[in-house]
Amino acid sequence: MATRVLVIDDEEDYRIIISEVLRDAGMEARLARDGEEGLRMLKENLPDIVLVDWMMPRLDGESFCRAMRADPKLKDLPVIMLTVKQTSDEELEALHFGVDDFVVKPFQAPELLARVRAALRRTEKKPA
Amino acid sequence: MTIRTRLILSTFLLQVVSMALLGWGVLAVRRQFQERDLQKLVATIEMAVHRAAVDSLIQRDDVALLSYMKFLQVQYPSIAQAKIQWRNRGRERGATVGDGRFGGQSRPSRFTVADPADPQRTVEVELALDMTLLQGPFLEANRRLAKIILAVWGGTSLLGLLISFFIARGLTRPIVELSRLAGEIGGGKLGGKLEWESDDELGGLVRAFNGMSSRLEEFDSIKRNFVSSVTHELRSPLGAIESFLSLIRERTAGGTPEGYAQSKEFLERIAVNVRRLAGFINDLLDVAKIEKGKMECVLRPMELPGVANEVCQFFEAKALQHGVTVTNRLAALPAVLGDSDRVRQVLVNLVANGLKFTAQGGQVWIAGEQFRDGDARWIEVTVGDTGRGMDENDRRSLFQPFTQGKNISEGVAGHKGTGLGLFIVKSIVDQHGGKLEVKSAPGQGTRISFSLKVAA
Repeated sequence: MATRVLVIDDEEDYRIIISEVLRDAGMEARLARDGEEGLRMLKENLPDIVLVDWMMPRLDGESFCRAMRADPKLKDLPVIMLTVKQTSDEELEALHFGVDDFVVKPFQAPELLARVRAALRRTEKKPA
Repeated sequence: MTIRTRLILSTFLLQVVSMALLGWGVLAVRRQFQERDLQKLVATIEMAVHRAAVDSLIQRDDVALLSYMKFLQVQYPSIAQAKIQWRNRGRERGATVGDGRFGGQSRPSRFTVADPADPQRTVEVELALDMTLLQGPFLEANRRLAKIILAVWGGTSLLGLLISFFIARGLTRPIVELSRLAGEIGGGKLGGKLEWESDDELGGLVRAFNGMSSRLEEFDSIKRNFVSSVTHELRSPLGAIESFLSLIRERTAGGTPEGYAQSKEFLERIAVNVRRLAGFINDLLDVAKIEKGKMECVLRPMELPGVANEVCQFFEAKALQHGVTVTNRLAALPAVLGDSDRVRQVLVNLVANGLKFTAQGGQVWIAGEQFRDGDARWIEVTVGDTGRGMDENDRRSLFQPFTQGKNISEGVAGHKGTGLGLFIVKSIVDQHGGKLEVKSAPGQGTRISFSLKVAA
């Protein structure tokens, strides 16, 4: 079965780019415009991994992660944060609210895919 | 040496010296009085002896003088010796009172008295006064006074040291604190302020320093906003362009019609991002011109409704996509003085903002109205929307470059903006001599008006 990825980004361009890259790699992408929509879609249909943008209207990446980690059913779901920020302070801060990895925009398709696969591998190894 | 130490030392030194001088002065004046008292005392003794000698001559009682001298010596132990010589027509007789031993310095005095009735009869008295003994009580009193003066001097000096320490601390505390804060600011820790209220020069310095600190902090936050805004506004479209290009490369590699169709779509998206980049760079250049004071508008008579129409048409497609109507409500108006390119830029910015914050089903419009200000006729152009409006705080930071209201990121998805638009708008309106006014409240829509002078 294809890997199901939930992509949450407010910029349409990036939604399209990420979903194309994921589809080319044989994954299945579902798209949400902001954190609220993302949470709704998570509840309807559990994906294997979430890609979430940091800066978004309504519910931003940080609040989204906190809300997700508070839900016992979702707390072990791998999350990769998309960001234009690059300071290590902010990355450290984000690790506290439960982000597994970062992808800095703009990114290259192979890097995005490698990080998605690495995050998936790490969660598979965890005892169920 | 720190200012504090210097202040303490100088006030302390001043006090020590002035107190010492005062003490020395008191002692000197006292000595002078003592000298006079001593003279008087000597004179008193001499007078007494003189009178006793005269009396004894008149009364022809030599023994009386002798016994008086003895009595006097008991009263004044400083009379070390008194030699008395009686002379009566060649006959001489002498007597000596006292052992003549001196404790120290002696002061001899010799005088002769004659009997007024018989000048041949004389008495010569040679007094040897022991001055050291005579001065004794005075010196003792002086020593006591010197001790008191020394004690007062020491006490006031200590007190003075304490007072000067507190005064110096009070004076230098803000200076010390200011220099610490200035060091912090120099080291990059901005925003330090000193709590200090006084009406003097130090208070003024502290107020000036605090003001400077706030301004620096403000500048720093503008700079940081600028960097993050520029980073985002350049990276985001560039990254998208890069990604779309590599997608196109892949899609066209297969040579399939679907691949080409998709690539065409991606090319459109690249075009949008290039426009976005170009727009941002133009805004940056405008801001640079404004900051250098080189933003110039060439004012010529121009027709507002035509420009407004162009702007409405420009946004037609976008408005349709958002489900918002953009209407030009400008009726026939007299020509105004303006730089039509710049006025168009103002309208584009304001309408774009209106669209950004107006939800589906809302309206954005351009309206105009004539008014008089003295002899001058003006037209007030208003861009209004039925969007979500803004609060007092957002309204205040509206025209600051690189700042955006705290809720601005909640605008229509994908339009974060750069925070430059309204700064440029304000500068253009200023160049036209007009006024920019904002009326808005949360949930009540926004109306931004600017005034242009009617061409004569």
